[in-house]
Amino acid sequence: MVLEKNLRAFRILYTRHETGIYNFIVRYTGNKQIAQDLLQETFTRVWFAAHLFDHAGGNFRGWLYTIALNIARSEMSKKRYAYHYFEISEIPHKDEPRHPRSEAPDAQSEQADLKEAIMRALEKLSPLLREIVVLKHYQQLKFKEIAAMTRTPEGTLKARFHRALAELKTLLEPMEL
Amino acid sequence: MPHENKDALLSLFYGEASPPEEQHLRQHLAGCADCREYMQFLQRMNLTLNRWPEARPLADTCDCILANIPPARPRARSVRAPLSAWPIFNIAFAMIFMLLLIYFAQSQISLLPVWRSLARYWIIQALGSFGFVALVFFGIGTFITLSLAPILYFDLNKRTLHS
Repeated sequence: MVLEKNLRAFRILYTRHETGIYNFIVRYTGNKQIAQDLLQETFTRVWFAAHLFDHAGGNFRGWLYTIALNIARSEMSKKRYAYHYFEISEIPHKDEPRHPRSEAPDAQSEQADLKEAIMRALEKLSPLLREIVVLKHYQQLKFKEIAAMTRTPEGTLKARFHRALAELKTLLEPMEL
Repeated sequence: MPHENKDALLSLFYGEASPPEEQHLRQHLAGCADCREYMQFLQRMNLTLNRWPEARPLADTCDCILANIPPARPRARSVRAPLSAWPIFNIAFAMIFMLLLIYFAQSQISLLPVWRSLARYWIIQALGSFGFVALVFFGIGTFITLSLAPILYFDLNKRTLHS
């Protein structure tokens, strides 16, 4: 349907995968603004490259994540993000109340601190380790799917995942998580 | 008891192990404290990482994507240019003109004294005055074309190079 440039089909496809792809990019890049732009780029590429997808026996989810991963990798390899990428939108303004009234300040604060700690820990991982954590843990892709996407042997991916978890454990230990 | 490969434990934790493999690993876990500890570590890390909640993209993202996609252009249909009648008229006109020219020329050539001496040859007798004049015109046309061909060829190349 998307191959036939059907707008309704495209919207259905987008709705089905938008959250997954967006969160994948947010966690990979650590920046919501970049993730928003790359999400658009990913689906634009899907629109134009729909004819390249193997409709007979291809895994659409894997194909979609491969596109998103390639776009995110390319973006992150650019010089401007090479040093540091901190989510500016996450820093509260000095006059802005840190917690909405609806939620208990302590719980909200704790959640924000945890999120920031995980974000910073992921940021400190090398791109390959971060990639496998995000694809495996957050996006729940199978190792087989990730292996096909990244053209890396499953054993290598699992070794990377073990290493990533060990590094995350060391990084998150001060938070007593 | 030898410890299981961590990769196998990872497959078990994420539900990617085959049923016989899973059964074997569960039996192993029941008796191996180290492997159980590794599974607990995976569980703890899973819970920790899940504390980063999912976010949602902006609501109008799909509209933005579609707005930036250029509208599909209708497929270009191969349209054949209608045949022009002009070349046919031109050729017909040129042929009629040449035939008239040869006709008038052959009536003139037969009056020339040189014609009598030429008429002795069998080829001229076979061609007749009309055929002879037509052959002469054909020879002149070929000569002019071949003389001009190099000039036209080099001139065309020069134009192509300058453009």
